[in-house]
Amino acid sequence: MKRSIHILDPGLLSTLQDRGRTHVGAFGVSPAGYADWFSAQAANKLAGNSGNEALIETTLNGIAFSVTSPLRIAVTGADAPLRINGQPALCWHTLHVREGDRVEVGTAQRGVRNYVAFEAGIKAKPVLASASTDTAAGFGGFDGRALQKGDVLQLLGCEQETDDPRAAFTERPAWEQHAVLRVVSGPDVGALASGLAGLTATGRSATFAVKQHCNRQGVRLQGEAMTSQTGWDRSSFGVCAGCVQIANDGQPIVLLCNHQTTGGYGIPFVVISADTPLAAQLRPGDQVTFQAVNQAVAANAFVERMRVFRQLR
Amino acid sequence: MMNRPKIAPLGDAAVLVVIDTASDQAAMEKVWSACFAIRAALERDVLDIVPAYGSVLVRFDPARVSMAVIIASIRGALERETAVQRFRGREHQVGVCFNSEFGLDLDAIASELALSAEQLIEDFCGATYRVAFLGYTAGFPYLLGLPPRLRVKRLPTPRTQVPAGSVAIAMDQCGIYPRTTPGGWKILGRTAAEIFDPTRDEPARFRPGDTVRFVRAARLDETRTSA
Repeated sequence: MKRSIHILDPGLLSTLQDRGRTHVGAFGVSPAGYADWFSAQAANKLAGNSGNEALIETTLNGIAFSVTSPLRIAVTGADAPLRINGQPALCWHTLHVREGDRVEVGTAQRGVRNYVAFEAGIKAKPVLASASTDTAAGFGGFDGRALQKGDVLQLLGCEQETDDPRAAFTERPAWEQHAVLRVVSGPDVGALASGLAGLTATGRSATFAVKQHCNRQGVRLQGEAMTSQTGWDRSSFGVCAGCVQIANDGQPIVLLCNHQTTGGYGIPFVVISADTPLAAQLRPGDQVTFQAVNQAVAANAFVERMRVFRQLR
Repeated sequence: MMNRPKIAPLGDAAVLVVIDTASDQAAMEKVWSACFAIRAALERDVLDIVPAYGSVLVRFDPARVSMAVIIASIRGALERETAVQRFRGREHQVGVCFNSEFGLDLDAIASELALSAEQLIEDFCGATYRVAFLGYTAGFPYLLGLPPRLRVKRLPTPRTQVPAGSVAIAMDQCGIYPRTTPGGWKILGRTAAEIFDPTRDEPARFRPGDTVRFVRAARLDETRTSA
């Protein structure tokens, strides 16, 4: 039987993603891929996938689709209402849907991005060895674009279905209205007039608000300007997700997965991998505080974040 | 001998190797060479290796390999590299049409530099350029080698749409816009050559270290077959 899903309402911006591209930075190509690695990998795990299967990433107001065959799926990410044929269903759980079922992910109450994973994954023509949609450069995923109403996504075939496995993620990051992002010092920490400790101490001056214009390239913040004796212009160097760039107005931008490969702004600190999912789920108006940690804490936090995946194996 | 490069974490999943504080061709020769050495030693253990002005970024998966191992491997790779290898790269000739419909800022640049448009084009095409690195947007080459007398300021307000194929300059830099994007550099002319095609195994026309010369074309369609 042809296994496919039909997009009924794509929401604001729904794209195909996987873990993103590797070994393309020297071509000026962004890694792209899912913005919140924890939720995306959890969705795949719950759908019974063990690798880098392509899934759907939504933005703010979810997605609605129907399925053409019995299927194991999972929805994770932002706190959003999930309905199957109008009946409430659980996010962060393995779900079994049947032929003709209509699945609706509603508007996110906390967080921004939902992940919808399907048993065996979505069939996508790889571009530079990845199914990810590069939303900045316009290639990859589904014809290089966001999903539209009427699109039909083919699913990859899978083995005979196993004995109705069910699983749930009980341990996951919470999407707080006031997020604390742990950071390690970056190459331009010395330029920060307040010092890293001064910036991240609790207090009004150290809190930033998420601005309106955010996308998969980065999250723009607004707070008390960060000053530097030398300004924040730098000779361009390679950057990665989690890097906090300071523009010339002294305001920070937290880079997400679809960032440009190089940047010409100073980077005084970098969000640790364990907390980049929190950055990817920030909504306009949310509050952000940075908390300085060292490399050992960052490494432990990552192991801790990954622990739940090993338990489910 | 090279000065000892500074190898420091950029977050917990990447390392920035600072080779040189300069960004001229001599500095870039060292970067291309270091990039080559790092790639040969640990390409399969990392996610990406990204050169830029004076530095190389190495991105890795912290679930697979530790920061300490990556830093030690990079240091080892760079120490084994006893001398800067001459990095030759490939050679390209890129046709450019400078007609006024494509060279949107040609006359403005000429008057800013107090040159005739003819002299400007002749000087621009007389130089040999090297690809420092690719960045800004997929496939965009940052070119070194613009003659110092051709240095101009950026546009005071960036254009929201720079047409694909535009060949543009700003300060000591020169570049080619692979697709229509916003941009603040001043536009000399246009090429119809394909600069970036993600469906190819090697998607970008240029690699860091390649040599580029610009050749004047009377018509845009003559520039399609640039080599």
